[in-house]
Amino acid sequence: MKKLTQFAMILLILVLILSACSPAAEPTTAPTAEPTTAPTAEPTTAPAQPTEPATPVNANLADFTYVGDPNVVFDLNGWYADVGVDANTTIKSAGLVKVPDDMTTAMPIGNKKFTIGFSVYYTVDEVGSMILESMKTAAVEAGVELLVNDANYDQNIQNQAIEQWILQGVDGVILAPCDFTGVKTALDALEAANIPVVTLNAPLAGGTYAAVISDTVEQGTIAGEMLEGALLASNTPMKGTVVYQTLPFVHPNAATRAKGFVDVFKKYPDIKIVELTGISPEDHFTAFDGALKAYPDMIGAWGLYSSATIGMMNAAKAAGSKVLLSSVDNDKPILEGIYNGTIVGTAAYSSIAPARWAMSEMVNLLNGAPIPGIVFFANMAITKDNVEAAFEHYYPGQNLKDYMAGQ
Amino acid sequence: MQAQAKTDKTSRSIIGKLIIQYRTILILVALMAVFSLLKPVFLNPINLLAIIKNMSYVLIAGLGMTFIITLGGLDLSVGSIAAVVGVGFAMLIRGGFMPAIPALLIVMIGAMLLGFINGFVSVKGKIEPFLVTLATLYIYRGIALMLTTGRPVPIVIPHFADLFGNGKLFNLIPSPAIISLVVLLISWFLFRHTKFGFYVRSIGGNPEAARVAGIDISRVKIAVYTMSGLFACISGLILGALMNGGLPNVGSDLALDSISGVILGGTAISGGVGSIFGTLGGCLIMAVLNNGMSLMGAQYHVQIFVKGLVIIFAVLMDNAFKSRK
Repeated sequence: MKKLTQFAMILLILVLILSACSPAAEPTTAPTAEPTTAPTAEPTTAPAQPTEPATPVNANLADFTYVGDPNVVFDLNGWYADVGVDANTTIKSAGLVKVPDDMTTAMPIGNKKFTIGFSVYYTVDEVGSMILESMKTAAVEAGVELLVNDANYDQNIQNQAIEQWILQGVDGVILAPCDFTGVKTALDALEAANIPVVTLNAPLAGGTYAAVISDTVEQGTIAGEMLEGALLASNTPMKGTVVYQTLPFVHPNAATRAKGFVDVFKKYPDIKIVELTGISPEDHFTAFDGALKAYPDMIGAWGLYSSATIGMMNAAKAAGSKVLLSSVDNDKPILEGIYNGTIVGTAAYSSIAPARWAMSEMVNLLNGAPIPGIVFFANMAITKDNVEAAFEHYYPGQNLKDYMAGQ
Repeated sequence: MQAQAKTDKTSRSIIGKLIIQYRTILILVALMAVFSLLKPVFLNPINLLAIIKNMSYVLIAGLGMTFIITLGGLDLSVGSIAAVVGVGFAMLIRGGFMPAIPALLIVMIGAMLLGFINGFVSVKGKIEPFLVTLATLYIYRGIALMLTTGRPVPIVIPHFADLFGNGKLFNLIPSPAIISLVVLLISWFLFRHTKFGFYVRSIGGNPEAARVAGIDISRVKIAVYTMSGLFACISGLILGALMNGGLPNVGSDLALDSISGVILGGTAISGGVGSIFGTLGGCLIMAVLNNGMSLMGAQYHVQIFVKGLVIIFAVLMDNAFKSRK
């Protein structure tokens, strides 16, 4: 009976609160600002021609290097299909551009005080934290109000944040999907509410005006070529086993990286590529420790992302192995490993640039300027030769020697 | 003077008792008040309904967990069962391989079987349920990953997402809220008004006395784990609908979230004492915290810190309640 009373009280309180609320205080659909350019034109056709008033020019145009026809929507679904990943994504803006890490043009300023929601997949590592902090800085430069959500890889939390932002009538949303398929719920809700969205990383389902991504196939290629180069330079016979370690589930970035890497070694028929999986560095440590014993003919290895490389690097060290190892990502321990010679090199990309370019895309879009549908930010091959400079590039104000000295 | 002091002391004692007795509601109301002051949009009815929707799959798993914890057990595998259900259902209906209804029945039976295995191995193998479900947490997750080779499997049939996920009754009440309400009422009835519920509480309170009283402890335990499998199945279907597909890595936090909700609701981790509506309150607290902190833009570090504090606070109040009793 007591519990019934408790339940009745909960219900009563909720009913009172509900009834006390002003009805639909915030609009559930119409955002406060129309995405004036809203490229509603059919994908694969040219963006709408400027009528009157004249379409504003994209403030960052000078930084764009177009790849292919700027009037054609990039076939992202085909790009994924090449690596066996099913995708059904609609990119609403035409054109694919490559951009530098550092804008040479200024961050666009909003025509008015826009409110933009930014949901980041996690902030529990340095990369996630840097993305969030960079986005905050970019928002200040663009003169927009930024609402943030840290979803910690929980798509439901991200979806909930989107629902809240729709209620709050944000002008636009920048979304780094937690789950590339599950994000469709959030994207559909935003579309229904007529709120434009730009994604950091490309979703596998749903629609977005633009996606700011790194060329992950190229990252795999860079890592593969660095390993290949190191093997050739050390006069290692190009036969035996090459191990790479990835996630245990299909992640589009992992699948595309793997394609780039595997393609590099296709020309060596005597090299067998073996895939191992894990999530945390310790998973990868264990897996690689086993691989070192299981494949005595192993000539090289690749960590497909930072946790893999860190685990593999330490396993090799513990086992006293000198197997050549390459990587993707530019976490500090990886750069230290390159400096120390434990890792031959890594394919790196900025944690700052994607946030800044995503903000640029969103503000240009809200200002009514045309935006490219795909923005590829730059990859960099880091080896021992440029590791110190790369460290300073990716971690402004810091340097590798200080880091290694524990400062 | 002495009489006045005695009256004051008695009043304070009564207020203290009331606070502790209604701690779940008080924490909930306090949280709602704080969040609504800081972010008025928190009280928007659509946001409040979103809280209930986003809580639904945790609540359903938590209801199964309430039976298990009251029984003196624990089930760490509910998230993995939910993942198997999501990918299993998606694969069964993919490409028109099977109509939705038989596929639903198959995954429900499958999930009950997984729950049954938990209970059976624990009872017959005389192994702590914590250890058994720790093992099956990995085994069932492995099944989900092996079935899909790690790939998400889209659920393409029409209306599934509406029925279990984003649909709304009268264009207002989210369908997961309705499903969780039905499961809540059934659970409450089973827990409070059937012999089965009585047996669960008796076994958790004093297994030896329950055995002497002629209760078939093994059978009840296995039944409770089987039921938890079914509840995890419903959670898995909701997650599948919300995620638009069967994802092999979904539900990794489901066990801990649901256990937190159950404990916050006053169910004793030592068994014997449980509350279905307490679990509702506990899950609501967690959901309100998630929602409110999301509105505040709090980073994950802050979120888990605050959640931990609330759990500790609630458990301390629970202990105070028991010591007063």
